[in-house]
Amino acid sequence: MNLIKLRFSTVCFVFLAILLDGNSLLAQQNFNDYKTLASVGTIPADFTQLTYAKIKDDLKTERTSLKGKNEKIFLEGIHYSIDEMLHSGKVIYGDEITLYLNAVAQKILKDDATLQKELRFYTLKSNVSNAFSTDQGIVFVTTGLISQLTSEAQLAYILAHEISHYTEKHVVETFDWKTKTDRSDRTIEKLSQYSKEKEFDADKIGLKMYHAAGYSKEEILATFDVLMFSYLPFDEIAISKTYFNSEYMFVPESMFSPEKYPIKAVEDEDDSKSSHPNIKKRKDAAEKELANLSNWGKIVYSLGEEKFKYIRKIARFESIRNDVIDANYADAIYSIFLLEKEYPNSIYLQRMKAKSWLGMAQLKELNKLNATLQKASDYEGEIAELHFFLRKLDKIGLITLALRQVQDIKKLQPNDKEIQLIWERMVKTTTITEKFDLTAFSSLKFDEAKIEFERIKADTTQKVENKTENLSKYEKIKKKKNQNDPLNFDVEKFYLYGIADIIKSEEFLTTFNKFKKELDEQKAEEEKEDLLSRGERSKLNKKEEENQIRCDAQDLIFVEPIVYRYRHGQIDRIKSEKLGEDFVEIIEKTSKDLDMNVTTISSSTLKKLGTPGFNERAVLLSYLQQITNEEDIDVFPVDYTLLTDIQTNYGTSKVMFSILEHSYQPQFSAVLFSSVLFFPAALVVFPLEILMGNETDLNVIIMDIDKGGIAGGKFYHYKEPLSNLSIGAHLYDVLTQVKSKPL
Amino acid sequence: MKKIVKVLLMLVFVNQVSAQNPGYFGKKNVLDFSVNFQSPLFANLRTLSRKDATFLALDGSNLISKKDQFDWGFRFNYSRPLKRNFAIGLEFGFDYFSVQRESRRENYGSYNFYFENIDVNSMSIMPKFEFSSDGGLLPMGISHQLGFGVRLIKPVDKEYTVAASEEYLLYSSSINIPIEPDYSSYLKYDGPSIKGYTLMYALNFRSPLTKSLMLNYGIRYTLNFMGSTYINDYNVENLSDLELNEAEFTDIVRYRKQFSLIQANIGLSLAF
Repeated sequence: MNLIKLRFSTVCFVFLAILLDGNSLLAQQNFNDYKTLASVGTIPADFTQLTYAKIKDDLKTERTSLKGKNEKIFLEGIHYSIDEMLHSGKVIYGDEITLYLNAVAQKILKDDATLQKELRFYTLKSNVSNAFSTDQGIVFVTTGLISQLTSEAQLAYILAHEISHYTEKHVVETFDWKTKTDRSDRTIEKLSQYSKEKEFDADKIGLKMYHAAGYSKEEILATFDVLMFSYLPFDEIAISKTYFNSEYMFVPESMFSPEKYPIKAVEDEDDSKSSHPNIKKRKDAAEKELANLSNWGKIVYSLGEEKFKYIRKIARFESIRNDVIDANYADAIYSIFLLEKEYPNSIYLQRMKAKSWLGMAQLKELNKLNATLQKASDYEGEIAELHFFLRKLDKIGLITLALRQVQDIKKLQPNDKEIQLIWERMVKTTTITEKFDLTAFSSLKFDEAKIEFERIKADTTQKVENKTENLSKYEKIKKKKNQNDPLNFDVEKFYLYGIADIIKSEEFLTTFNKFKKELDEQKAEEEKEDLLSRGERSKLNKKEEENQIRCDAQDLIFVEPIVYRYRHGQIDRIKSEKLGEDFVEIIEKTSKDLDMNVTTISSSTLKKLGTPGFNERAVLLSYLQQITNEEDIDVFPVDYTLLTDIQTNYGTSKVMFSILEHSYQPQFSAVLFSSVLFFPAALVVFPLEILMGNETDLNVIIMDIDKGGIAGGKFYHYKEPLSNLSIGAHLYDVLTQVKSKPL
Repeated sequence: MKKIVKVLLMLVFVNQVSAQNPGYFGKKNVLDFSVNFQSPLFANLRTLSRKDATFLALDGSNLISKKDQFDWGFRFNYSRPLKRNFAIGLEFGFDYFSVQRESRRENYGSYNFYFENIDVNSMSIMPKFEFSSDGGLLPMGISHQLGFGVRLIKPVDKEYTVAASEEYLLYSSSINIPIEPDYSSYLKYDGPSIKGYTLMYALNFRSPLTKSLMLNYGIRYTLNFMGSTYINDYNVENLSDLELNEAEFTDIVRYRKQFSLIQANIGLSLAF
């Protein structure tokens, strides 16, 4: 009882602090040195309790109205999907946004102590504008949605809508409807109709809650506008055609689109297959309800306008990080463009900008950038201008511009280690880019070259022609290739005049030549390999394979394994989770056997690690997600600085990620076939299939924080029955290699 | 013996070569002990179509017919993985089975002679290679084994009954030949061991039980080769013709083993 009192008073104190001066107990963000949001405080049980334990509890307490098999299916589905999200590294608690969400929710729920106790609000780091509630009483709000809002009242209405979904048990009702409805009647249109009814219901009940909380009715319809246009960036400002210009770089206006791209969203769109009614219908319905309610309050900001704008700014800063993780580099650049007006010296924005340009250059080098850009048919709004420009740039053009941008950022932050590493990787990208020839670049700046060109054109055209006539064919070719010759000035190739200072810089040339030398050596090695006999080549390949994860590391950080056990082609969630727990135990035991110091950061150790461990895990998972999103390029970690903190904390730069998948699928068709052909053969084939039906894939990736990238990986595919010892033996092999010096 | 010692020494001194393989939890030597057996169904394909696949066993004072017998044996194997998916090994095998001599007829007489089945011991030495797929981690898991070895085969040294009967009996599932002391006799087979060669392919599994013990099981296919010049003329002129000579023994063993294609085995593997 005392404990409850203590907790309650602590919560009250926290909210009081927020309400009084708009400042939480957390340190205020300094946007010039923005730090990505991290969880704060005691880790909630939602994150530490294992999923199968949650299901067991719910079955015991009969939380839902469902019975028997349906109840089990529902609980498994809902808990595993929500827990997957909770453990994705994208959900945070106790941070400034989450505290703000809670404070607004408290206002809505001020007269309902039961709901206050039942509901939990968390922030989801995602650029998808969304909020959703779950059957178990969790409400998620994305940073993407917060970045789009224009008032606290709008957030209050959205939260009230989500709370209504919970109070009306819409999730379980929809599941029940699906199970009870004949398959033939379960068409998308009918499901859409059913879902839309629930949404109208939530809008209506939410509106009453919103009204009761004293919020202003003027903000209701504006909320629907926010939702309608939330797929666009958080602001609509034309990107300046001089945005990429600097002392050395000049981008001609002809590189930009001559036209504007209108916004296509309409209120009355076809919603026959949508889960939500269209905005027009929702607005109409809301307006009717508005008229039925009287005594409207005036509150737009109960916690202060400044506080709201501060929270929204945090969400906007987060959106850049989300875009970098998802390799939406162009969108990140646009958001940086919007935010750097206010924070031109923000180191966070500069680092993110450098990472975005590097990412784009790396993708362009592989001819894969366009896949991340908008298609011409999708161009919409001001951001389309940026996508148009990036699409129009040729490979050398984009990579040169990226180099220019990163170089300029480096000049602004000469002592920043992270920017230095990004710059080095940018230089490396130029060395591996085909046709990126330093001699092709002019030593003149664009404007210098242009002036010179104009002068020559006006004054000595004839003279130059005569002079050229006297040259030999080879001298003419040479002359044409010389970008320093003003006669060769080409506006379309503006970028050739954009790095005149860089190609003269000693640091650049030393770094460029170092990477070029490495590349040449690598090429020479490859050429040598081509001359090797088959046996020698196989030996060499084996050696390279063997060296993949040998990194002479005694200490290692092991990140929660991703484990999937399949049954009849479906993931068996419960068994997967249990196997994941076993996997963690195995790695801890095995590392002890090998006298290695392995720190495990996983959901099963979160109780022990607490919030610091939870945050470290989120940082590591974000990097894993980055790798997964763009596996073709050597991605630079989005949270490099936080990774180095982890390195300092654990005294190692080596991090191990792993994925284990197992299925048992004997192919009995082979038995049938052999039986038809020759019965006794079935007696051999059958036991073979029984024994060899196991398929296990173990994938291990070792990351080196020091290098800011992947050190190597190892893949095992084996057909043995799954056991902890067989996993252990493989992990023993992995750790032995990690511990060993390269051959 | 010297050769065996040499091979064993070679296996022990391959440490440097096998540096890439951590073995099973760091243990790079494996000793397998397994029991192998062939059920009549698998014993040889010919018996599947033969109703007379009968052995004559001593039962008190009769020789009675029995169906094809259950062969068994046991093996010791030492192996050492050189890579994750490649190992070499040396196997010692001991097999026990029975062979049946064909009946004889007294030349110019009325007696037919029927022989009790002969118990046979076989010892084999076989160097072998083990392979697994790229994801394999020998000695654990599935492996394909290939070996070629020498087999020394000898009848069990004991007295075997020869029963005489005036009746000519075809081997079937219901023969009962009384051993008449006046006409029957006993033979001892103490001839030299005969030699054969075995080519083996096995699909073997080693499933972990503890960090140093594994259950091994699998099936193996063998082809046995041995030469024989024996031609049976079936007629007995002197009782000394009833003696088992090396050529006949080789022939009946060859007949018995040549189609012993499939065996199953199960045992334990100790990693150290």
